[in-house]
Amino acid sequence: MRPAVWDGFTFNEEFLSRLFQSIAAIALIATPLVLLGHFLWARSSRRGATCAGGNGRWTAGLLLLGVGACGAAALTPVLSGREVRGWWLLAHVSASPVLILGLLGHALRRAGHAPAAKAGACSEQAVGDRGEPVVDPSGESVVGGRRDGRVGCVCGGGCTLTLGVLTAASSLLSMGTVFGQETMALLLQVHRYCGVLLCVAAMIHGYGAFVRGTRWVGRPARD
Amino acid sequence: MKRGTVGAIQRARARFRISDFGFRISVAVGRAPAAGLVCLAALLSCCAEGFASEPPEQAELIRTDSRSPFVHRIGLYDEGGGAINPADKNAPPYSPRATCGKCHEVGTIGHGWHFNAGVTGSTQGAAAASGSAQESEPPSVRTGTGRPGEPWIYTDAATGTQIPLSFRGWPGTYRPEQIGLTAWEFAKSFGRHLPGGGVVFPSEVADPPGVSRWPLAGGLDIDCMLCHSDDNRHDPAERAKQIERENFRWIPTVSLGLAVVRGDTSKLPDDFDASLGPNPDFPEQQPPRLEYDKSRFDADHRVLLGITKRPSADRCYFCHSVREVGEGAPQPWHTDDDVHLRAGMTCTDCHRNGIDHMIRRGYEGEPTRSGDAAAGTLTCRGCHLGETAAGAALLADATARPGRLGAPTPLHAGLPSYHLEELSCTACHSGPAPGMAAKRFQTSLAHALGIPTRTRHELDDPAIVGPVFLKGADGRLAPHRVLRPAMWGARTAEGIAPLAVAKVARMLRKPLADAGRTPGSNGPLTPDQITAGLKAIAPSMTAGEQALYLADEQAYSLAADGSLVAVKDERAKLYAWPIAHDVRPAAASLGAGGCVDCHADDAPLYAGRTVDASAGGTGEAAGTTMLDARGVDAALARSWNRSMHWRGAFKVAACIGLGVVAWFALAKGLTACANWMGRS
Repeated sequence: MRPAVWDGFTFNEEFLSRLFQSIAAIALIATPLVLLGHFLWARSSRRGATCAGGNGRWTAGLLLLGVGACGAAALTPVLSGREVRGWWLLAHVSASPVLILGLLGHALRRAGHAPAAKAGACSEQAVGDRGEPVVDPSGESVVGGRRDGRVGCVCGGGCTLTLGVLTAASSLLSMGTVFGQETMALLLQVHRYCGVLLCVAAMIHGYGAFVRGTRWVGRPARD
Repeated sequence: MKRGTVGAIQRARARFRISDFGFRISVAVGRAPAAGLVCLAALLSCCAEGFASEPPEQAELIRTDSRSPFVHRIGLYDEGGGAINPADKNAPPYSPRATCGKCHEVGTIGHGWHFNAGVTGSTQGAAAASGSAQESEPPSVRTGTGRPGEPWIYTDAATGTQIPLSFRGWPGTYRPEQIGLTAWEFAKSFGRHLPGGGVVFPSEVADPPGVSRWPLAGGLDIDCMLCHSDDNRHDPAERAKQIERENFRWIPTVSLGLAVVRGDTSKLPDDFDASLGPNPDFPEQQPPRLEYDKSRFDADHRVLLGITKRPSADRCYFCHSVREVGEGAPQPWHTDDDVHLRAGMTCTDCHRNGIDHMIRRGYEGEPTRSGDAAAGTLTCRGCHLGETAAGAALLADATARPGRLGAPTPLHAGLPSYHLEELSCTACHSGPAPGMAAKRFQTSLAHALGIPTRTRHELDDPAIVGPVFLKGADGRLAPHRVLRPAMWGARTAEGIAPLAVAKVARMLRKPLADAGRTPGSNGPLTPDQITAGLKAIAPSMTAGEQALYLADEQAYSLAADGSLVAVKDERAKLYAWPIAHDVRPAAASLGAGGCVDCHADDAPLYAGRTVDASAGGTGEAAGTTMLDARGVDAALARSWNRSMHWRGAFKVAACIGLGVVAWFALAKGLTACANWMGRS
């Protein structure tokens, strides 16, 4: 009998494909809800911080555009119970250069902050270097010790890049004549699942870059 | 008094008829009642052994049950069940049904795929069209239709007629009776490549003389040796010759070379009655008589028959040959066989059957239609990929794994997996490679290949062309051979119906000849000829009927002013059937040269024409490209094709970009790890 998912040698492609539809739906619904919850919690607790700023928003925007376009082209037919074929597939492939440019821009931007890298991208030094507030009016740090800020930054940085590389590489490898159908089928599953996770990471990253950094979210308490 | 009437009166005899699934035997015992009773008893015994219904057949038959082939040194029996003595001057012909029926379930075999057309086809059309099997019917009946295949094609070049015929209800085909062809005419026209049984072995065989010619000729019964001859002693061309002579009953004996036949049934009058003896007024009217080759028999009148359970491809080729003809057609010695044959296989290794002789055709979806899940293991995907349509239940069976019969598992390197869902295996691997113009083909069924003649020419009608890439019944793109039906018909309130072909021939030969359709002409009619034909037919139309000529996907009719009007009509659309062979090796398949083998605006898959070079015109002519024929989104196809121009550059740029990103991500990761370790 074929394995339920993967027994180390073979995997059940059909099962993984069916599972993917559910996982994609859950991820696309749950992530915005979690972020919305965080947004409301942050607003009520007057907390605010940002990992991105300045030209970081441009690169984040480009990345989000690429992920959004690729994700929309791929997940729309999947979530409506169809195969990614025809115009949807063409749109998905056509949007992929934008995603790669976004990943490249994001990587180069982070590479441009080498000191921050040493001390952590979300350190007070790094945030201060970017000209962003590091303390609230009460004098409490809004950056360094924040666990939520670290999680957002890790997602925005490392996960997005790693998942982006995996997603794009699994697709590129399939375009060569190196691997046969078995491996290509596995790469397709890697592409699908990493793609969905990339969408989640990108949403978190986008939230960090555009929403949490806005003044009315991070507005400090008056007294 | 007419001779037939006299014969009927003089036949004071009892007629015993044993029927089993259309099989009829009649025994005349009028002249010797006692002998008749003995004969009847023998016959009933024989029927219990060989011709009874299916379950008793299995119980009573002689069997060896060994994998070692039985040496068929056997006695021969006539259709009445009597043993044949070759020394007898009036020895009757042997009957495969009676002879083979001693040990084999001839009743069950008679339902086989090659024999059941016309028997079950009439009830199968709807099920086939919808793709649904009728669960209440046994599998052998359910598969009466299956995927549309090559039809019989009624062709009359003199009247510009080529009509696809089938008893199986395949969409786009006509039943022979719809064009006025009787079973007798069908047998005479197409019996040359029919293995017998079914519609060409009708119950009329047992009728009294004078009703039809069936009692004279005998039915065109299943000739087992047509396929199962191991030593090529069976001569199918001789069989075709005897069909022309209407010596149906004598065919199995003569084709096998056991005897020669003297006399032609075709020269006998319809009401000829052999039981009356020679007619003094017409002494030349004699029923055919056999001269057995006694050297083929041993002292006990047994004959050694070379029989195989695994017929060679050469036997199949008599009916299933295809040859490319016309401009640019390769010399036969330039072409290769199917790779499977080259590997030492034969047709029946994949196209298998049980005793029911329901040959597995090997197409996707056959398991569902036939109700036989194991049929999925004999398809291309079944052997090479281990994919079956049978579901998980079969996966535990070793035969459902890839590599059956040593089939290599294809790598398909670089081929995005959805291609395997969109394309049939044959799209890349079967038939001749597609060209910018379709190629012209002749087939055994349509052009009587295998029958020696001096009058067969390369551009003879019907015009069959291919490969044309169309979506098959399973929705996958596959290469097809196509026929453009052409026929004369009448439009009535109920719709359009073809006219009887004999009537058309009678009415049109002269007017069309006057319009320049000379004997020996082939190809489509000219507008002037169509006009002349419609004018000739119009007087025979009743009120409310309008004469039509259907061809080139259009219905031609005459306007009130006598001018020719053409309107697009579904009934004249292409009839297409899939190409499965010859399978080419991987190196010669489509895509071996890269994506642009197919994904280019000027690739045959899109720009290739659905007509052959003899049709003239240009590639830009509307409706003649494969893209048009498929009716797919042309803009999408073109977009994909053009994206291939950038594919290489995109891959290089993307690889460089991703390399940078990956390098950075790795560096960041290592740095973070180092920092964390330093802190801890």
